[in-house]
Amino acid sequence: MSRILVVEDDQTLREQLLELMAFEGYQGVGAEDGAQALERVHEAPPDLVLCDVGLPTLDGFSVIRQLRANPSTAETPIIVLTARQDLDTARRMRDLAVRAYITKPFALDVLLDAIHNALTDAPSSTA
Amino acid sequence: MVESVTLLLSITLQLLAAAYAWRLQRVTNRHLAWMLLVAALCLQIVRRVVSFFAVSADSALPLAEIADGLTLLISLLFLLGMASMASLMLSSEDARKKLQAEIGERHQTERALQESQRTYRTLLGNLPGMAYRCRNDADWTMEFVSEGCKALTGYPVGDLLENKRISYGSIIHPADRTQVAEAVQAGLRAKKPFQMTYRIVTATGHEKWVWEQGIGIYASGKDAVTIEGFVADITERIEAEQAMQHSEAMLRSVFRAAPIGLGIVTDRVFGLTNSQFQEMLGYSEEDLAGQSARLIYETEEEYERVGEVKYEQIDREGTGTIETRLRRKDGQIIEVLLSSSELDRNNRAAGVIFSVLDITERNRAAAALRHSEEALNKERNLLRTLIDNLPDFVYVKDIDGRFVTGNTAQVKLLGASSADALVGKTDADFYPPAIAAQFAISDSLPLKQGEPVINREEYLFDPQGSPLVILTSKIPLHDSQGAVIGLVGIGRNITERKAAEDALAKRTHALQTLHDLSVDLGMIDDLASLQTRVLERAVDLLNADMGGCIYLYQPEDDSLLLVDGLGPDKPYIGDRIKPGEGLSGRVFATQQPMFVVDYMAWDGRADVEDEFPFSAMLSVPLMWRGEAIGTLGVNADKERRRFDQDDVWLLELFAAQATTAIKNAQLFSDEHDQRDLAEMLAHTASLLSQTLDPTVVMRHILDNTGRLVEHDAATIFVREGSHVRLAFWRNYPDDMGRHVDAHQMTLDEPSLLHEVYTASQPVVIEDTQTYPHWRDLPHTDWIRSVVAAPIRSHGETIGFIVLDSATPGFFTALHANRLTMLADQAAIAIENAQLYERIQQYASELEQHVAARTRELRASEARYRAIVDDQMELVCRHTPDHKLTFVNESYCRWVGRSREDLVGADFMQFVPPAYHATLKALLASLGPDNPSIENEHPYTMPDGETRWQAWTDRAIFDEQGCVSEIQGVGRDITTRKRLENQLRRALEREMSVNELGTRFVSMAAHDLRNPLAVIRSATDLLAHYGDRMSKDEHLRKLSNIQRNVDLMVELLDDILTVGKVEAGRLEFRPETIDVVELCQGIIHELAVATASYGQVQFNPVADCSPAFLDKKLVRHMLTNLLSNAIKYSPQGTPVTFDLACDAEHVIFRIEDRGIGIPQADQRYLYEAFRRFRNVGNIPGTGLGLAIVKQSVDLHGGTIEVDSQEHKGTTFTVILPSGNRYGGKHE
Repeated sequence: MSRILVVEDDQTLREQLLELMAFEGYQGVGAEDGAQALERVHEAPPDLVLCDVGLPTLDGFSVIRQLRANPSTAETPIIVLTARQDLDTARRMRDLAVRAYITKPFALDVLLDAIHNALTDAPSSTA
Repeated sequence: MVESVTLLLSITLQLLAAAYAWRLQRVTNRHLAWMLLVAALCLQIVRRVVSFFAVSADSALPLAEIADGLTLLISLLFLLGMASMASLMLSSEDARKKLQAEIGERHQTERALQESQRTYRTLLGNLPGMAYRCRNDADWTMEFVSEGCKALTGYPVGDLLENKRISYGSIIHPADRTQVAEAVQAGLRAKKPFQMTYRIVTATGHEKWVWEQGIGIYASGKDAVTIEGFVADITERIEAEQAMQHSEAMLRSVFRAAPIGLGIVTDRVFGLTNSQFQEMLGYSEEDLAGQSARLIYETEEEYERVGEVKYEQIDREGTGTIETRLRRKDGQIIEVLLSSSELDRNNRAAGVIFSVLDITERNRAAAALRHSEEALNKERNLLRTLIDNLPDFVYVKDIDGRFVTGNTAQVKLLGASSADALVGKTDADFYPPAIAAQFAISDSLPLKQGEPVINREEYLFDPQGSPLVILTSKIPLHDSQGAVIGLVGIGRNITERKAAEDALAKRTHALQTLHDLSVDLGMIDDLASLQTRVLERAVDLLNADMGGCIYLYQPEDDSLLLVDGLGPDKPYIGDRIKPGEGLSGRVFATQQPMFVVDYMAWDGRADVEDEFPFSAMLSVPLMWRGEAIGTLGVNADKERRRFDQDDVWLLELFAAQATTAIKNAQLFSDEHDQRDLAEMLAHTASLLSQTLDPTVVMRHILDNTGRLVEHDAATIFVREGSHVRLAFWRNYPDDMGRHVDAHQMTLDEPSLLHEVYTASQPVVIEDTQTYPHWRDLPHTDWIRSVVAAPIRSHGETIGFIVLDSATPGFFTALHANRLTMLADQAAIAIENAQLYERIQQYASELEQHVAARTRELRASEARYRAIVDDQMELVCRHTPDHKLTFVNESYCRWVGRSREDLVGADFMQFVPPAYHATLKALLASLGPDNPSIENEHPYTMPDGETRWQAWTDRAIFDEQGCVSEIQGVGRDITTRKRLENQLRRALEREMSVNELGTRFVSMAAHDLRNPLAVIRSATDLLAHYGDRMSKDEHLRKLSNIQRNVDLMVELLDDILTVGKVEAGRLEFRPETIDVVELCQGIIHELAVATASYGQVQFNPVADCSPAFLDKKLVRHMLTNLLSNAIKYSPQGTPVTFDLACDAEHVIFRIEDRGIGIPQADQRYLYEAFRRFRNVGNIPGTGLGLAIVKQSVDLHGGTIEVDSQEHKGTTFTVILPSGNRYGGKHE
C-alpha cells in the first residue's frame, strides 16, 4: 500500500483528501504545516507527497526544497495543490521538479490520475 | 506325499475362492494380488510334483496331461492377473475338479505299484536297477549282478564279480557303509527281507541314491551264506522328496504369514491355523488345535446357524461365505466374513479350509454412515425451519412456473393461507395480469434457458396494495440428467432501502447540479443576463413547467420589483408589489420559504395575480447576510407538479448561490458604473483644464451626459432673474432656442423649472401626460418623461439641465442623482469660466490703467485709491524685498487686517514657509524682459485658516529700468482649488478602484479558491463514494460545503464594503446617536453570533452625550474590532471595552489578551487582504481592519494600536464628536 503524505493547512480539505486516500486504498498521512510535514517524512519516507504552497511556519517551496536535499526523498514524486495560478509559482515548481501542479479547486479525478501516474512510473526507490 | 499335493491344491483353490468371494466384498486389490501370486506359486509346486510322477511312475496315468494343463493355467494366471478375474475363477474351478478326480485315482494306483515291486523283485533282471547275489562279507563280494549294473553304478558287470576290479562295498558311500551293514545283519538275523536306502558313488564319481531290498539265503542251517536282492536308482525321487519338503515348509510359512486368518477344521474341530487367525481371536495355536470351533462363536445358536448355512452353501456351490460374530479369547466380539470350502470335495472328513476377514471396522464405518445420514436429515429439517422463518421470500416453482412450495414469508406475501395452498398455482393466481406477466418474463430465463437471474429488482404490491421493491434471484433446478425441472427463487424486500437510495441519489445529483450551476452562474457579470439565467436554471432544476419570477427589494419605495419573469410571469416584469403581498411578498416579509399546492385556492393570494393561470407555486427568500434582498419563485401546473420539502431544500440551496452571484454581479455592475462616473468626471476635469470658455464646457457636458444617463434629448437653461433662457440643446433643431425664447418662460408661474427652482432639488416627471404643469413647446410633443436638475453656484440656482425621453417612466431617482452630479460639474465650470472671464477682463483693464496712467497715479494717489478701492480684486504694491507699500480695501477686508497694520509689513510672513523659495524666485525674475508673472500660493489667515490666492504681479520700473515696485492683483481661489482637489481625489479613487480590482483578482486566487476546493472535493466525494459513506459522513460533507459557502459569503460581503470605501462610495452620513446604546447593541449581537456571553466587559467611563457620528460606520468599526478581539483571544479571557468622551471627542478603547500582532506586520495593519503570520487556522478575510481604518478616516478620527505578540492588543479610536460637520454637505 502506497504511503501518501498530505500537506494541507485547511483542516477540512486535509481530512477530505485523507478520506479520498482511504477510499482509493492508499495509506494517507496528514500534516498541517511545513514543519510537521518534515517530521512525518523523518518518521517514514512516503511514496508520494501532496503539498499545498501557502502553509504556516514553513511554506511549500521550502518543504519541497528540503525534501529534494534529503537523499532518501530526493526522488520522491511530489504533487503540488495550490490556489496560486501565477506563472512565477508554476516556474518555481517546475524548477523543483514537482510531478504535477494542480490548481484549486480541482476535480478529484484529476488528482487521482496524477497520483496514479506518479506512483506507477516513479523510480521505485522506496517500493 | 500325495497328501501334501492334495493339501497344496486345496489351499490354492481356497485362496482363489476367497479371492472371488472377497472381490465381491470389495477386498482391496493388494490382498487379491497377493492371493493370486500365492495361488500361482502353489500351482507351480504341484506341477513339479506331478511331472515327477509322470516320469517315474506308471505311464498309464494321465499325469503328463495334468502337468501340461497346469502349466497352461499358470501362464494364464500370470497373463490375465486381476484384469480377467472371471475367466481366472472359471479356469481354476475347472482345474480343481479335474485334479481332485485324478488324485483319487492315483492313490489306488500307487498302492498297486508297491505290490508289484515286491512281486517282481527277483524276476525282472532287466528292470531298471540291478539284481544281485553276494556273499555276506565285508566287501559284499558279488557272485552275480544283472545287466542293470552298468546303468546303476557305471561299472560293467565283470568289474564287480568276485571283486575283480572293485568291490560293491567300496561303491557304497563311506558314510552309509555302517548303516548298510547293520541293516543287512538285522535282516539276516530276523530271517526277513530287509530294505534300505543309501548312497553309492558311481564310476564317474557321482553320488546316487539307491533303494535295496534283499534276503538271506541259508545254505546249511543257521547262517546265511549268500544274499540275494535288488538295487534300484531312486536319486530323482529322493531329490523330489527333498524339494517337496522344502516347498511344504515354505508353504506353511506362507500360510502362517498370510494377512488374513486361515485355518483348517475337521468336523468343526480346529487343525492347522495361521498366526493371523490366532491374533484375530487372541488364542495361541495350542489353544485352538483339537478344540471345537464352538469355542470362538458368540453363542451356541450362532455356532449352529453358521454350521447349517455354511455346509448348505458348500453342498450347493463348493464354497460357503457368511458374516458372523466371533468371541475373542478376551471376550471381545468381532464381526467377520467367514469363507470355507472342503479340502476334498468327495470327503468332508478330510477337513474344511476357511478364511476369516475382520469386518468390524467396515461395519462400524457403515453404522457411522447411517448415523450421519440421520444427522443430515435432522439438519434438513432445521434448514426447512430456518428458511420458513427467514424474512426473505423463498419459493420453488416447477418448469411450468407453478409453485411447488414457499416459505412463510412468501405465503404471506402472496396472501395465501399456507404453503400447501400455493402448490400448483402460478403468479397469475395472485397478481394482476401485468405484474404476473413481468414475473413470467423473469422466470423464463432460468426455466427456458437454464440461466440464473441474480439480484433483479422487481416491482409489485403486497396484499394491502402497498408498492414493494423486491431484490430477486432465481436459480434453475436441474434433475440428475441436467435438465431444468424448475427454479428456486429468493426475494428480499428492499423497498425502504431503495427509497433511501433514491433519496440519496437525488440529493447527490441535486448537489452536483448545484455545483455545476454555481460555476455557471459565476461566469456571468451582467446583472440582467444573470437574473435571467438564475431564473432559467431554477425552473429547470425544480422542473417547474410554468416558469417563475425574481423579485428584488427596492428600499427607496419599500417595494418588491419583478426584475425578471418566465412563463406567465413574463408580461409583468417591472411590476411592483408590497412586502407581505401575495406569495412572494409574504416570503420576503417572513424570510421563510413557502409553497402552495393551489394558488388560486390560497387565501393569501394577491389581487394583482388573480388572473394567473398556474396554481402550484414555490417561493424562497434571497437571503444576504441575514436579510432578505428579494425572492425567487417557481410555478407549475398543479395537476402535474406538487412541491414538497425536498424542493424547498433544493431551491433554498440554489437561492443561496444565486444570491451570491447576483450580489457579485451587482458589485461588478456598481464598479462599472463607478468607473464610468469617474471617467466622466476625469474627462470633464480635463476639459476644464483645456478651456475656460463656458460655451465649450457646456457643450462638452451635454456631449458626455449620455455616458452617465441615457436620454433622447438634452437642454441647458440659464436663469436670468425670474426669466429662463434656453442656452444649449442637443437633438433639437438648431433654431430651438428662438422658438423657446418666444414663449417667454418665467419662474413666476407653476412649471417644471419652477418646481426645480423652488425645491432646489432634481425633479423626475414619470409621465408628462399626467403632470399638471406640463407645457408643450415646439418640437416637444414626443416627450413622455423628464428629469431636471438645478445648476447651483454659491447656493444659488443659476440654471437647469433637463433630459427628455420618449418612454414613460424612463427616469428614476438614480438618474436624478447622477444628473445632479453633472449639474454640480456644470456649475463649477460656469463659475470658473465666469471668474476667468472677469479676471481676464480686469487684468487687461488694469494693465491699460497701469501702463497709461502710472505717472498720473503717482501724482494723484487719492484718486488712484478711489479707483482701486472700488475693485473687488485684491490689489497691493510692494517693494522687491516684499515690504507692502499699498493695499486696497478689498485686500484689507479679505485678510481681516487694517491698512496701517499691513503697509510696511513683510507679506512673506503670511505665506507658509514651504512656498517662500518658489515665490521669491518668481518675484526676482521680474525685469524688462519679463514684466509680469502669475502665481498661486496659500495664505495664512489671522485665525489660522489657510486660503489660496492667485496673483498677477507686474513690475513698475524706475527711470533706470530697474524694478522699483511690484504691483499685484490677486483673488481668492480657495473654492477653485478645492474643486481641483476633488477632481484629483476622484482620479485617485478611480486608480484605487483599479488597484482594488487587481488585488481582488489575486486575492480571489487564494481566499476564494480554498473554500471552493473544499466544496468541490466534498461534492466529488459525495458523487463518487457516496454509496460507501455513512449518513454521518454525508452530513459532515454537507456541513463542510455550507461552512465554506458561508466563508465565501462573508468574504464577498467584506469585499463589497471595502470596495465601496475604496471607490469613495461609502458615504459619510453623520447623525445624532446615543453611543452607549449603540455599543451595548453591538456587544449583544456579537455575543449571540460568537456564543461568547460575558467575554466583553463594557465600561462606559463617562456619560457620552449624544454624539454626531455615522451610525453605520461606527457599527462596522466596532463590530470588526470587537470580533477580532474575541476571535484572536483564548476562549474565556476577558476583552475590555472602554468608552470615554470629552467635549470634542469620543474615545473607544478595546483591549484583549490574545495572540497579538507581530511587530513586523504592524506597518501593514490596515491594508486590505493582509493577514498576520500568526493567525494560523483562525478564519478571516484580511479585510476587517481595512474597513475599520476607512471608517475612522471618514470621521476624520485617529486609530492607534499597541500590540505585543502572545500578550495582547489594544486599539484606541478617537473620533471627533462635535457638530462641526453639522448639516454641511460636501
